[in-house]
Amino acid sequence: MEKEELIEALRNQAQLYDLLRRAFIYPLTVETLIGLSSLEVADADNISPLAEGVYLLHQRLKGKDLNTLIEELNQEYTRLFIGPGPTIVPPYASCFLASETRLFGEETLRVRKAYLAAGLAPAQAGMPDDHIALELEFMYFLAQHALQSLEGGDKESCQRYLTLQESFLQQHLRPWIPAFCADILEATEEPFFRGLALITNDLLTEE
Amino acid sequence: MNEALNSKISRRCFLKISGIAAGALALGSGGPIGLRPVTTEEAKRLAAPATETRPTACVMCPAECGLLVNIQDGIISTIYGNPAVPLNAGVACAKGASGMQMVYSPYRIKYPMMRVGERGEGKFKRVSWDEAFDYIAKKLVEIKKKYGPESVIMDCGDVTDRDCYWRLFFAFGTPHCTEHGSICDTPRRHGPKLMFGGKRIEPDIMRPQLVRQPDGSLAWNWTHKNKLIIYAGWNPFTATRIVYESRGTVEAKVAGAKIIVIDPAFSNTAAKADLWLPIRPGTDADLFAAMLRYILENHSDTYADRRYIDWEFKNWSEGWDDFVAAFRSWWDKKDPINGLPYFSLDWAAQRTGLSKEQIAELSHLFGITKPAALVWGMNGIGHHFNGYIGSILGTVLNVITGNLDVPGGAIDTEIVKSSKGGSATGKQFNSREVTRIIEGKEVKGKQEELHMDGFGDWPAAWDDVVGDYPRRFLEGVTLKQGPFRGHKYPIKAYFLRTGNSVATAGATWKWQEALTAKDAQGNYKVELVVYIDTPFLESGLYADVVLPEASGFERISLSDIYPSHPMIYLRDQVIKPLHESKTPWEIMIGLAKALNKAGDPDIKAADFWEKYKTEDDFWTEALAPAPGIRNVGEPLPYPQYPRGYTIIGTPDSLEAGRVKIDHEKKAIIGEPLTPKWLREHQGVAVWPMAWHRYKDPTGGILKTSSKKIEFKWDWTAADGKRYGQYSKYNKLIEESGNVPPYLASIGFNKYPSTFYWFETRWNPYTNPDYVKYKDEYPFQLICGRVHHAMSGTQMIEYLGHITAEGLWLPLNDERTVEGLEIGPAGSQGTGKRMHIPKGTWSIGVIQMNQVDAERLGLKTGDLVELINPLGKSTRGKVNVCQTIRPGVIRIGFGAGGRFSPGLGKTYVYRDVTPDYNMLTDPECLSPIMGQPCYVDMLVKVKKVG
Repeated sequence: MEKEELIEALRNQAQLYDLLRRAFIYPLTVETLIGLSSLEVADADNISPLAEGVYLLHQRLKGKDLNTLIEELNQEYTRLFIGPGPTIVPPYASCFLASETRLFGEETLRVRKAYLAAGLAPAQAGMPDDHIALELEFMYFLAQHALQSLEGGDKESCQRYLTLQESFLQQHLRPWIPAFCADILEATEEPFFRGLALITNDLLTEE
Repeated sequence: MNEALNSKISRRCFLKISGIAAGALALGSGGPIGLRPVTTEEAKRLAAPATETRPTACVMCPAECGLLVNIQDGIISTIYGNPAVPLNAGVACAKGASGMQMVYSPYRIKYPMMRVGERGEGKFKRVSWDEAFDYIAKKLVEIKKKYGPESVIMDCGDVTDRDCYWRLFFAFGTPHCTEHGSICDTPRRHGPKLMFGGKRIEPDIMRPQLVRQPDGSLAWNWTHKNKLIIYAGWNPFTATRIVYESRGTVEAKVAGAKIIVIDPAFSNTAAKADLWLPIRPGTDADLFAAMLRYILENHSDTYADRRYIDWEFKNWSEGWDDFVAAFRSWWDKKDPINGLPYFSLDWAAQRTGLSKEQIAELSHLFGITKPAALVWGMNGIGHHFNGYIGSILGTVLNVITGNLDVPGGAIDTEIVKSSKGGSATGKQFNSREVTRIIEGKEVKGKQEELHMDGFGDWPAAWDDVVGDYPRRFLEGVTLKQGPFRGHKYPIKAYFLRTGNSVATAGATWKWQEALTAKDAQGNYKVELVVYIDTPFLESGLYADVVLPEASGFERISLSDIYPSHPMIYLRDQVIKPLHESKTPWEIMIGLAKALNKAGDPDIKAADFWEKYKTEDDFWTEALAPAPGIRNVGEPLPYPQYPRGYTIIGTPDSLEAGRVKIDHEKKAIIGEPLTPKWLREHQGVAVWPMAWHRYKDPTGGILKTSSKKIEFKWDWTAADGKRYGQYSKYNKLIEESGNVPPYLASIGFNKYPSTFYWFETRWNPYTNPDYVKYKDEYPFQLICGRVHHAMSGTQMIEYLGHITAEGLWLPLNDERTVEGLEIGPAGSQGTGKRMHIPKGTWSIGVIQMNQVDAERLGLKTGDLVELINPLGKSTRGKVNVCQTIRPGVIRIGFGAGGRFSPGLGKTYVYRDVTPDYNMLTDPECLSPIMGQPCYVDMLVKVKKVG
């Protein structure tokens, strides 16, 4: 790819992470839904889970009254990721990686250290650092900085950010994202969250 | 270079955001949401490994032990007991040590939520705190306008940390600020309440005690003087707030004390005893009456081997002659159920199922052994229809044998503890003058006189008791006593904070009916139900608004659970509230502001957010009256100060003489105790122990009207004044002419002035009305406590692997479930299909004697149905054992049929675990204070399948 293409690709990637993190932050907003409904798979013949996910989102969102739909989706978000009672699909890495069912496990601390090394910390003190939305936001943050570096002509810095991004993806997201997304698929019939799970899994685990 | 970058950007570019959306989400517009930038300095500080140890108090059960919590990188790593708190002296139990499994539970309530389905369906939507506060405030203001503030109940189910909520709701204008103690064991406390103005008699076994020495110094006392401790229906090894009693009982025994346990079940406490007397349920008062009669009939002033009574008590008491005359008046009467004279050994043997010889031996032993303590608990006397009588007789027995407040004897721990709360609790709002229009007439009175029980059917429902719900939710309230008699109001809002009424406050089905009942227009009768807690329990399913309260390690409060002498320790915020949870203080301030904004005239800035700038300000006010006890007893706690004066202030200022002596108010005032002082002193303040603390002209620790121990409860003295703990209530009855219906049902037209007797309910062995049920329903049903799994902590993984007393055993069948995790297989996450192997998870079971089981052809693990005469039933697995009296069935309270999905694996087995409260009779409320009679019931057993 040429530099312009690279910039374009990085911009797209940053936007995707931005969109995904928003999709996992409560409450969902109309802007997020519009963003998700405008996703397009570049390769039209693709019959990957990615394409299926995009198809599900289109079916659910396009041409709908998003203000009404959003209420329904936020309720389903609450049921899936909040509770009360057992959180059906807890959106925290610790729940998938720790040897016991608890939040603020060792993974939380490891992720916290990765954020701090990049000069970031959770804005809300009580929120576990390994919440899916925070981890995606960190990916977005790194993509955005890679992009800015490249735009400013600093390829080395861009490379550094991308390496950091790759290692965060490998070390912290890949170990639990497949299980997390599989659980969403098992727990809900709501096409929106099924689509979101398919896309998230595909984007974060593709080689 | 481009190649390298290419590989990292990769196929993600297959997916694109197109058109307008890309513009709307332009980079930069979406700055950080969940993450914030930190400076290098801050990042360094946050990343540095930090370890600290902080003192606080446990909330895993209401024993509230002093704890030391180790925190690593801001996360709780380990929990130990705080050695500086004498109550538990460094000890922490399995439940306390697993406290972090509550804090870090993925199941805890994390955000405010509002109901979107019907009540009971469990469908909710996350909302912001502002939305939740505004909704509640608007609704409350509406309800106040339409029905009056008295239509609102603030129920702080758990007794811990309620002060903020009470303050807010007293200020709002309702007298109904209550806690679980309202519907738990009020009969048990009755004797001490009537006779001392106290509550709880416990043996003198808290060690260490801080004692003044002859040379004026203070020293820790670890020695035990006890010779005999009798526990009747009291099981401190399994179910207690008096945490030192398990440790202390063993220590006292090692030091030579004899331990006797009277209980239908061979409890953990019985296992440590020298003697177990398996009494028939519901006959504790009968046994105590026989003991008193035996002591009175056989006492001799002459012969030392029968010198049971120590007459010195007469110097410090009123009304003994009246009491004993009333008691003796029964001796010649014949009991209709067995034709035997009341309280005789034969009579008691026939009723209690113990032998005549056992009862005589017990009576003699108690009379002759000094020091001794007779202690009764919630499982028996506390939860029977006539438990009051047992409590009164037990109190009398301790007093006349000279065991009250002597070293190694019996202590009323309620009246010797430190004062706390003071004006912070907002009780002063409850005595405001209010006006109501009753039958067209304007009537004035105090806010507290609107109380649904105290001025309704249970005038003696003192201690903020609210016993008569959920019925009042359905039927509304009509006041019968006091200035507002005739005033009618409905119950329209129910706030439940760290409680679980639906599962544990009487008949479950009645609660479900009350909270889901609708009016003709299809609206819920109780218009607003708010659930505030850390875990999500059954009652939360019926709430309109669910609020996440900070866990015990994330909030501040004060603890001092029934010690032998004054001490107070801090529940401190050792970590910041997680997720979006808020402390009770923050909830109070937030809701106060919302109410004020919604136009509530009673909620003022000056009483809330302007008065308390920080949370510490609130707790400083709550500590202001501490310890507030009199300088009385032997050895005198402060010999350097005047005897009988009230002591206030920090222990060190009192020791050092940094005090002001107010002779007019008879007070010694040191420097005020504050949260800061506590933090600087290992979290705890301890003032000296003394004994004989009631032997003082001021009354010492006694809180009775005559400043003496009172054996009579309503009398007019020579000075023309009316005395006694019942006199206030009898005045109300005389004035109104309305005899409380439950009093009338036992044949009384007012509260008796001294000894009284009536039978319990649902007992075919003592009450002739129930003999007809004996054959068809051959089992008496009682409950026990599964301490580590009481109502609210059954989702704690560590605790699910522990067994308890034949009530809580790993009799689970094999199941594959969704969304939960089991230990042995290791690291499965929640939210997956989970396999629970057979025999790996403790569940509530039905304890039954082998003799009964063989007769019914049952073996351990068989599924049975228990059916009561009201046609209600529940099912569970049988545990066949020899550790229960034949003819008795015992179930753990709140240990089965748990239908909140917030309870993890316990929820999974709800179909094969017994729900005790499905079998409770909702109409069976004890006549003096309205307490549900949890242990008065009969059942038959039917095998299932």
